[in-house]
Amino acid sequence: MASILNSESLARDARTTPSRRRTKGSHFGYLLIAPTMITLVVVGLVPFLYAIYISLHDVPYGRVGEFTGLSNYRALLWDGRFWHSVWVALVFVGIAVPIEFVLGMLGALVLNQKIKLRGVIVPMLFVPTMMAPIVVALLWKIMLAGSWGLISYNVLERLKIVSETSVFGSADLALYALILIDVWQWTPFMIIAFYAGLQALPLNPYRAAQVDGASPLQMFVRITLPLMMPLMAVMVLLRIIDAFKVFDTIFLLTGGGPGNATESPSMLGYKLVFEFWKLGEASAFAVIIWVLFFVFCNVFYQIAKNRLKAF
Amino acid sequence: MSVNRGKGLDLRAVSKAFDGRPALQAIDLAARPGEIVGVTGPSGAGKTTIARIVAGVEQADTGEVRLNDRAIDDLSPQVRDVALMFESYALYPHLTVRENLLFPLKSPRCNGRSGEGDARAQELLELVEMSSLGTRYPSELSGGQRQRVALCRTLIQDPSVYLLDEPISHLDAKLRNKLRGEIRRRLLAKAVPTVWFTPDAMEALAVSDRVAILIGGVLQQVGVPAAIYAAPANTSVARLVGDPPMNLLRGRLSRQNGALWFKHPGLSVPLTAHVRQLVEGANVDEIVLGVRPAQVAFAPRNDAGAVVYAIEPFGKYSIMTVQLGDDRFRIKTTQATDCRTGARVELSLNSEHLVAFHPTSGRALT
Repeated sequence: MASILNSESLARDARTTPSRRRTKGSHFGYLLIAPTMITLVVVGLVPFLYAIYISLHDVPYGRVGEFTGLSNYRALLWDGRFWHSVWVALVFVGIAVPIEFVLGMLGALVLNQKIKLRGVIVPMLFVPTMMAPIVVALLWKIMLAGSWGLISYNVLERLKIVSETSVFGSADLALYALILIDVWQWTPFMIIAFYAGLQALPLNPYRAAQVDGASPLQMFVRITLPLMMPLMAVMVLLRIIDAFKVFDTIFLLTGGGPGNATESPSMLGYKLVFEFWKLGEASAFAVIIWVLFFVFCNVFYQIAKNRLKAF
Repeated sequence: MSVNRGKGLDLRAVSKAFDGRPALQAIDLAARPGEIVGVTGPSGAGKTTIARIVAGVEQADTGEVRLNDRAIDDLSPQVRDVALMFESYALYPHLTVRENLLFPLKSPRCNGRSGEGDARAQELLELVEMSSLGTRYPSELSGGQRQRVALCRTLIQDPSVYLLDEPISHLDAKLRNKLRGEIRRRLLAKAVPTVWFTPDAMEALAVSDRVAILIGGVLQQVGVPAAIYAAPANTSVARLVGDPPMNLLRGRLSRQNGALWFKHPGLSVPLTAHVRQLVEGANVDEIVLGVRPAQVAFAPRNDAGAVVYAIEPFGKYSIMTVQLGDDRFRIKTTQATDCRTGARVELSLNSEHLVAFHPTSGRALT
């Protein structure tokens, strides 16, 4: 990197043979990506390495103490609370993402038909996604408020699902309420993304398929789905990562409760730092979650690439 | 052909306009089973529009399309039983070459017919010299290779009519020459009509039983290749057909010593009795004279009116362009063309093969 900024070496490169010049070209490429790489290293890699460092130490009340090896990791992995938070996230992801995906796809397919008022519907779909999380949380807190909330009073209590208490106060229902909010928040986004994808599909294969005699179902299964696969894979991956890290609505609505019924990994991580002041364990926690995601994303990528031919 | 009357493809007075501009005007065209009809014309003439209307991808404004004595205008493309080779290829980007070929055989209308699909795919790929590329994706192919895949995807089907929209236009000359004959042979063996669209008039003459000349959305002439070549219906057809196409010279008529002469600033020709009769019947004092490039001889002469403009030596023959007054005139000759650019040559026309056109309408005098 340094050599290319050196004017003498630049002048020398300019006189050299074509093969040498290609080497110079690759240096120039590094120069172009340097700003991005430096930013990533400073704000991403350095803090992460520091997190690994302090995860190996005892850090009482923010002061890095003595080296304790893997004891922070052991403490976490032997703690049922950690595994419970992972389970909460898995339930959250496992229910919310498939629903968002299917509803998103169906919504996009409907939008893609030349329905009336499309110009009005599409901008409205942005509303839930663009709302600040605090507004979303307050909105749903009001709608699901015990005994007088719009949905609590009119739907949940009439159907005798809950009585005179907020769903957020029920250990059985709080998580599903949070999932409902996530679906409400992110399904429109999926619709818009898939709709954009459908609009961008090439027309020619459809014309050819028509003339080749393909049925509408065949066209969907054999042309639309394969052509949409890259977008679908990316969207699902993004939603899985995002939903796994869900924090804002939980923090604002239940604080992880009742008990720890809705304590997601992010919520637990927050508590480890700001309630229990266990920075060592919190860092170990971050590293473990990172490893889980690193493995998951790689497996997902390989499957998407080789089986689904998505990338 | 009378046995097959009504069988095959019939277009009756088909018209189509795009944004108020007519693209096709009252097209009447028929293709009988076992017949190849070539539709040729410059780009923008409406060839692709005809193909798309027959396939059902486009709707005609007026007129009727009949296939095997049944109007198909209101049928969806899926049930028309038409094999269309798209000019844009329209390959399935996510399928391999072989999967692209087999796709049409998986449609509901082909149920039970897809049996030996793999063998047929392989055989067709061998025909177009792509047998080792069956597992490639379209994005990994060159333009000419994609065109061959689209061609195979059409030929693998057993439809009621084949529509080939510029099937071999992007192939190299050698392969084009080979496939022209091979495809014609295959299509003639099927008992269904074929419409072969091409901007190359000579290709149309070579592959077709009958040729339809389409210019500006209007059918100019329909006939067997020999008739189209020998007697173009108007100057537009004459400009299109031939390699190189016919020379057209506008000149006055004048009588000298009882003979009728065609007078052009660079050329004077006595007209034969036959042409003279046609000209007198039309009652004009000016004509456009059509001269086939191969029907001209030349000899160097210092005071001649023709000046050599360019010479293209092809080996077996040469094409010489001469400046004749304001016109350029092309000669296809086996004579030695050792004269230089700028040299003067005297032309002598074979007056038996001249074609006379009306000076204003451009129609051939008959």
